[in-house]
Amino acid sequence: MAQVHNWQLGRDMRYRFEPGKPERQFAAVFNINRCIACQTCTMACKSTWTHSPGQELMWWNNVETKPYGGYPDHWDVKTLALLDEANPGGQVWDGDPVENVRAPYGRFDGQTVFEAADGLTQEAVGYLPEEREWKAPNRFEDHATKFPAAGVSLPEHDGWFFYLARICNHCTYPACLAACPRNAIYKRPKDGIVLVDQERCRGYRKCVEACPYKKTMYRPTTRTTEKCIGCYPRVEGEDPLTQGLPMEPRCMAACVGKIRMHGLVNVEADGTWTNDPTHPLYYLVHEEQVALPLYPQFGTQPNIYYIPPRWVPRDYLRQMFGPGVDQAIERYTRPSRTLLALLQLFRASQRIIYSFDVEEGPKVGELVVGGEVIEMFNDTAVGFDESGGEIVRVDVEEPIFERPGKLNSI
Amino acid sequence: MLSYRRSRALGWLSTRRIVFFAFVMLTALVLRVMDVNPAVAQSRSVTAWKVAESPGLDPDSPIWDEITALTIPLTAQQVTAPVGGGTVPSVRVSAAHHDQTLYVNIEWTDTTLDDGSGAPEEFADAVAIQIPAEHGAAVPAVCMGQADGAVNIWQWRADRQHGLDQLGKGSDFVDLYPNTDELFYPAQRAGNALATPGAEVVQNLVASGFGTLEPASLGVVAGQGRHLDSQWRAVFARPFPAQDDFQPTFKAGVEFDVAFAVWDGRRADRDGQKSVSSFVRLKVSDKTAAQPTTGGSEGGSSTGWLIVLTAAILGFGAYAVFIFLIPKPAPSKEDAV
Repeated sequence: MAQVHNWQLGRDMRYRFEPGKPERQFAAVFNINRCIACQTCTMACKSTWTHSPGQELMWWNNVETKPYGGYPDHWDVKTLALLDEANPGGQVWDGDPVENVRAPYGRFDGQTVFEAADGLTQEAVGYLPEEREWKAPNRFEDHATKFPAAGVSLPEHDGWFFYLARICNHCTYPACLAACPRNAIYKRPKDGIVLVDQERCRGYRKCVEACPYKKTMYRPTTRTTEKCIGCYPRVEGEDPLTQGLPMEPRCMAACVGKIRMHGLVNVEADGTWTNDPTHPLYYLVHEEQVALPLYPQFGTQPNIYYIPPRWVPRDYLRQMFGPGVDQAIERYTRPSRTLLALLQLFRASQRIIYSFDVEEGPKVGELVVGGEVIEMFNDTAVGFDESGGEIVRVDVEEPIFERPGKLNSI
Repeated sequence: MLSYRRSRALGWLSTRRIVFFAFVMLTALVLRVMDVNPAVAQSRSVTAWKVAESPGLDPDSPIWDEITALTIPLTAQQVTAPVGGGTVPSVRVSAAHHDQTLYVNIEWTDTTLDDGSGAPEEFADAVAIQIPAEHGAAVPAVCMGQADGAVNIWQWRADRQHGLDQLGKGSDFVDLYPNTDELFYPAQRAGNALATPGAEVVQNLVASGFGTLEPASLGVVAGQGRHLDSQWRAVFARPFPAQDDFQPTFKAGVEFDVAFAVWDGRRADRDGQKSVSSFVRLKVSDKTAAQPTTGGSEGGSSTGWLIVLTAAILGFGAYAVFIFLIPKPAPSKEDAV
C-alpha cells in the first residue's frame, strides 16, 4: 500500500501501488455543451473493436442522457450511494478553486473508493452490475427532469437533461488495476493507456466490480474482461493514413459535434501535469480550468475532462465534476480570446495536437451575454505536432460559402 | 476465616466443574457428529488404492462405491485479498490408481448448480487439487505456494464442463457470426487457454505465490464432473509420469501432500474467494483395496470415538490443573465481610 498524490483531490491518498510516471498521459477534453448524442463516437468504436460474439453488450464508448440514463444502469448513483454509506455525510470538499496544479479544486475531505474499501474483500468499493443492467445503453434517452410550461432560460434551466459521452478514463490510479488479484491489468509507461492482458486475465471480474465508471466489461465467449484500449495502434501512429504520426482514437476522430479534443500530456512523478500553457489540454484544464474531471471524488484521477453543460443546476454538476463547476461555466460562457480560439481546434484534425498558438485577427462583432457586452475577434487557432510542425489552422469566424443556384448539381 | 473462604471456593468450583465438563463433552460430540477435526487434519491421509479395473472419468463408477471417502474440512480463505469462501464446509475425497494413472474423486455438497459463466454476474462452481510441484522438497505454503516452492494445481470448472458438453450440439453464435475468427477473440489469440473453445475441462496450472497462477502443460489432467441431488462429484485423472517440471511424478508406495479448494458459483466465489483445506497426505498404495476399503486411513468410526475420549481426558486434565495447581487469589475485603 502506498501514499500517492491525487491533484484532483488536492491531497495524498492510499493506493495499492507506488505511482509510476508515464512518458505521457492519454487525456481528452469533452465539451458537453456541444454534444448532440448522435452516437457516431459509439458506433465508430463499436464497428472497430466490439463487433464480435460475446461483445453484444459491450460499448467501450457510450453516450447517456443525464440525470436518469446510465450505462450500465445508474452506475454513478450506485457508486455514490456506496461511498455515502461508507462515509455518511462526509463526502465533502473544502476550499475553492485556485490556480494550483497540485490542488486546483481545493481539498476533498471525504473517502475515495480505495479509502472506503476494507482491503480484504475489495481493493476499491464497488459492485458488479448484472447482465440486465448492461442491456439498455441509451435508456432514458432525452428524458428531461420536467417540461416547464413557461419554457426554460439560463443560467439554470428548470427542466433539463444533458448528454454525457464516456470512454475509459485511463485513470492515473485505476481502480480496475488495483483490484486485479492477478496483476493482469497494466498502465502503459509510454502513454498511460490502461490495458487488460488478455493472456493473464482469468475472468474474475474484480476489475468490473472495482471500476467506479464501469468501463471494464466481461466477455463470456472468452471468459475474460475487455476494455477500451484507447485505440493505441492509432495513438502509436500505426494507422497508414497519418504515415506513422500519432492519431486520435476512433471515437474522437468521428465526433460530429466537435466536442472532443484528445492529446497526450506530460506529467510529473507525483501525477501532476507538467506546466505547459501551449498544450491545448493543459490550457483547458489548468490555465482556464474550464474542463473538469468526472466524479473526481472517486479518487482514481480520471483523464477525460468535461466542460460542464451551462444550463444544468449547479448542485447536480458540483456532485459530478467537483467544486470547479461555477468557475468553469463562468469562464466558458464569457470566454477569453485564447479560449474562444482554442475551442475551434476541437476536431479540426485527426492528428494529435501537442501545442497550439493563437494569431490575433480583427474585431468582428459584439455579443451580449448575461447583460454584459463581449467583443468577438476573428482570431486564428493553429495546432502543431510533436516536432512543432503545423497541422491545422482554424478561424473563430466560420467561413461562409454561397453556392450559385445555377450550378446546383445535386 | 480460612474455612469460610475454602467452602465458598469449592462451592463455586463444583458448579463450574459440571458446566465445564459438559462443555468439553458437548464440543467433542459436536466435532464428532460434524466430522470436523482441524487439529488432526494434517495427519490424516487419503489412500489411493490399486484397483483392478479403471474407474474412468465417470464420477459414479461402481469402483468408487468400494472406496470409502475421507472427509476433509474446508475453511474460508483469509490469507490474502480477496478473501472469501467458507460456505462449503468439507469435501469427501477418495482416490485410486490403475495402469499408472491416478484417479481422485471429490464430492461436495452444493444445493445450487452453477455451470454458466455467460453473464457478467455468473460464476461457475469449481474444485481444485493442489500438489507441491517438486516431490520430496520442503512443503510449500498451502496458499498458492511460494517463490522457491511451486505448486501444481488442477482445476475443474463447471462452466467448462458445460461448454464441452454442449459442443457439437449447435450454437447460436455459429449462425449469427459466420465470418468471425480468432482475430476477434484477443484472449484466444493471446494464447489464453481459458478462452480457447474445446480445451480440456481440467486446467493444469502452476503457481509460486499469490497472483502468479500460470497454465502448465496442456492435455495432462483429464476430468469430469456431475451434479446430482445437491452433490457435486468431480473425477480427476493423471498419468503417473510428470510431463514437465511443474508437477510431481506419482509412484506406488510413495506419499504426497495434497490440498483442496472449492468455489461456490452462486456465492460469486472466484479467485481467492474460495473454501480451502490445509495439506493432507495422499498415499499411493501398492496394495489392492480390501472390500470395502476405507479411503481415509484414519477415517474409520473408531477414530471419531478416540477423539471424544481424547477430548474428555484433556478436559479432565485441564480441570485438574485448574483445581490443584493454580493458586487461588487472596480474598478482598469485600469477600471477607
